[in-house]
Amino acid sequence: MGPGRTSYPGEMSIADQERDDVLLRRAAKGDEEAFTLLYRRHQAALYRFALRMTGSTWAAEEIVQDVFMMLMRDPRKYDATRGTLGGFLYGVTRNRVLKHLERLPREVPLEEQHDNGTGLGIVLRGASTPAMQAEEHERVERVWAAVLDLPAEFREAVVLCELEERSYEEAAQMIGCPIGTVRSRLHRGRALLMARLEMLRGGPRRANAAAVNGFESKKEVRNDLR
Amino acid sequence: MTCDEFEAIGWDAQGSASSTDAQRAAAAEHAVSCARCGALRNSWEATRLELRSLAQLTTSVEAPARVEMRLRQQFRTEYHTPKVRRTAVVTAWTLEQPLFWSALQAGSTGERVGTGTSRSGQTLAF
Repeated sequence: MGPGRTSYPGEMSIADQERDDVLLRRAAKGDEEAFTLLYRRHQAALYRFALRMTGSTWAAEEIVQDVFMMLMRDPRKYDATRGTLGGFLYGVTRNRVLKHLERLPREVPLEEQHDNGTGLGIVLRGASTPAMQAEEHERVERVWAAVLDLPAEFREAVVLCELEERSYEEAAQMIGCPIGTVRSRLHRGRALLMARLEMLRGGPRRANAAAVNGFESKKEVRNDLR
Repeated sequence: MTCDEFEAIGWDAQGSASSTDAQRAAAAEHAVSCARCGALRNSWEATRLELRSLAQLTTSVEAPARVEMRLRQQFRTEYHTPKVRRTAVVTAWTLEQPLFWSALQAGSTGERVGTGTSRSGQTLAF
């Protein structure tokens, strides 16, 4: 199963209900409207995933553009018998994200990336006063910094299961690994995240024990993959 | 549940879909009786809340409109330019062929001959 489709309020026409593979066939014959419809259907979920994984709006934008460029140039890469188009596009996005993370230097200060709203280009709407906005801004920056600090495999589990609220089964299918692996990665990812946030909050270091267990068990995760 | 077990599976049992009801109950009971593990669970609850607010903030993000514009532009270049170019190449090649010109010439001559015949036919008829 692929990532959830983005719904646009008041935009439920017959064309929206048309199947992805039909639209792709039309797009492959040069139908721009069909291609645009496919893009609008899938871009938000893919962009959100790329943004949450990379922490960079610039990288997420590049990745999404790259994915749809591939679909435009070589639509035959998608095989309808092997799954949904959403799942296929997610897989391609995931590969691009992992490649991007491999190339990236380990530490990227969030503040350097964007200057509207948070360091990630998100405008905070909920907070009403400047003081509340500043506080919320700080909270979001902190938790995102902690998420981005996680090793990629743990980050992916946290992004899929905590931020996107996907089930273990869905996450396992999307990542292409057993459910047990998702479960253990998520547990360790949570522990590392908690330890990191405790440090950033300046609170007691109680959470570190669980996180250290997570680090020590990282080898087991690698063994799971083999 | 012991502290070690709590550390291994208990602190995130409430939010974990894989935990059984019995595990959750045991974890909750242990967190109440052990201050150390209780603090660990509270820390996770605070982390979970922060994750929720991050998730909410990023729920409605979308790729900027310029990405769609760029892709559509590229789509036109990929699918429409080659077609126009192909038509131009075929036309140019056709115009270069002597056969094309001779056929065209023959066609116009034939038309002239046909007209003449017709005229003469008409004359004959009168």
